[in-house]
Amino acid sequence: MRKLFTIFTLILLPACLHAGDGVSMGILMSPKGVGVTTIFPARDGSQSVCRMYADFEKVMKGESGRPGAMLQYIFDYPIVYKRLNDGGTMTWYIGPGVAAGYVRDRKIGYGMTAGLAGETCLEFSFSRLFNIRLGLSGALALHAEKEKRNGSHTLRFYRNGILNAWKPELSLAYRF
Amino acid sequence: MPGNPSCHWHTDSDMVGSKSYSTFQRAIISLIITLLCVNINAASHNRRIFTYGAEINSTFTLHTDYLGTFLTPDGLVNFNKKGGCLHCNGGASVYAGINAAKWLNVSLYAGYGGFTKLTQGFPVSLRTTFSLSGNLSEDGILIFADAGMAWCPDSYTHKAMFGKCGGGYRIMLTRKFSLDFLISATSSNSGPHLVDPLEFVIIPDEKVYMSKSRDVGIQFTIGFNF
Repeated sequence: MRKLFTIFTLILLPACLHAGDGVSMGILMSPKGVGVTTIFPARDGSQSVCRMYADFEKVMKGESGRPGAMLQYIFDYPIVYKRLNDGGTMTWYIGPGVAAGYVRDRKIGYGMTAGLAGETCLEFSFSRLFNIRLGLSGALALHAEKEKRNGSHTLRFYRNGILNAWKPELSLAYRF
Repeated sequence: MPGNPSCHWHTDSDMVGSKSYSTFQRAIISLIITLLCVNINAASHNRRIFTYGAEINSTFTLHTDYLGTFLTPDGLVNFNKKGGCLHCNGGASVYAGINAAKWLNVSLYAGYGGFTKLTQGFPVSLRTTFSLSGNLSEDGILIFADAGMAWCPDSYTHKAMFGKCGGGYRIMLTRKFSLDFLISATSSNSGPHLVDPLEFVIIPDEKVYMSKSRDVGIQFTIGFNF
């Protein structure tokens, strides 16, 4: 877990350097997991999104009480921007990124996972300093499961990265 | 009134031909009249009547009381588990309701969520929400009570009952859109699949005679209201 926090800090550093005004921090909720998210808006309208969440594979059905941990860093580009009637704004973002974590895969035990990530989302910003993001994200990643018998690793394709991409993600962040 | 031929007392024979309404019809008519009254009242005060929205929640079970009976080659075995149990469930639901008064909302919720280990279902519940600030269309503290039932297709009893009460805070992000941050105490009765306490496998329903689980916990909810 200490390694994961170190990786998260290393991911946050370039985002902090890249950030303009209006950093947002909040929570991420999804059938995939629950965690925290930080959004660093850049001056050109793009955003760096760093998030860390507890992966709920086998946890949602009560088959296990121990979640995994996943880190993602995504660079979002604005595609469509619209001003809403009530004073808020809506922006559609698409962006690539990277993902790493220590998670379960389908019918497979825990293992280190790393690969590419992608996201598309709608972000609603309001004058009351709240951002609401509703989106989908997936990952093209590899999963290394450690064999209990001899300690060797079995490298497989991380299937949940694709098969769980349809599950919606909702994040609610406060804009500082 | 003696002496007045146009006036007479009603007798049972007079009521034979009159139309009688069933309980269901009376309930529907009462509901329509109530809605009309609410509508007229709301229109006169220039406020919204119908509300709808969605919410997501996380429940942390703190105490569980479980009782199960199942058949083994040696006979019936009772399995009882009582005590602290930290378990997390999640859920999401949509709702539609009416602002019966400026400070009172009654809504019907439906969604999908978990109740205890190995038990998920489709809950339907009725919630009454009060605004302590006196206006549901402004920022302020809310208190609510909620009760309902759930259809759990993948469980032993296929149903669950639950109730919760709590409070929170409403933030109006725009004139029509608001966020609710709620915390509540929740209790549920369900019948999950029985897990063999020694081999940790699900026992087939044919061998299970009883499976009851009562769970008490804290629920955190974020609601989106339109």
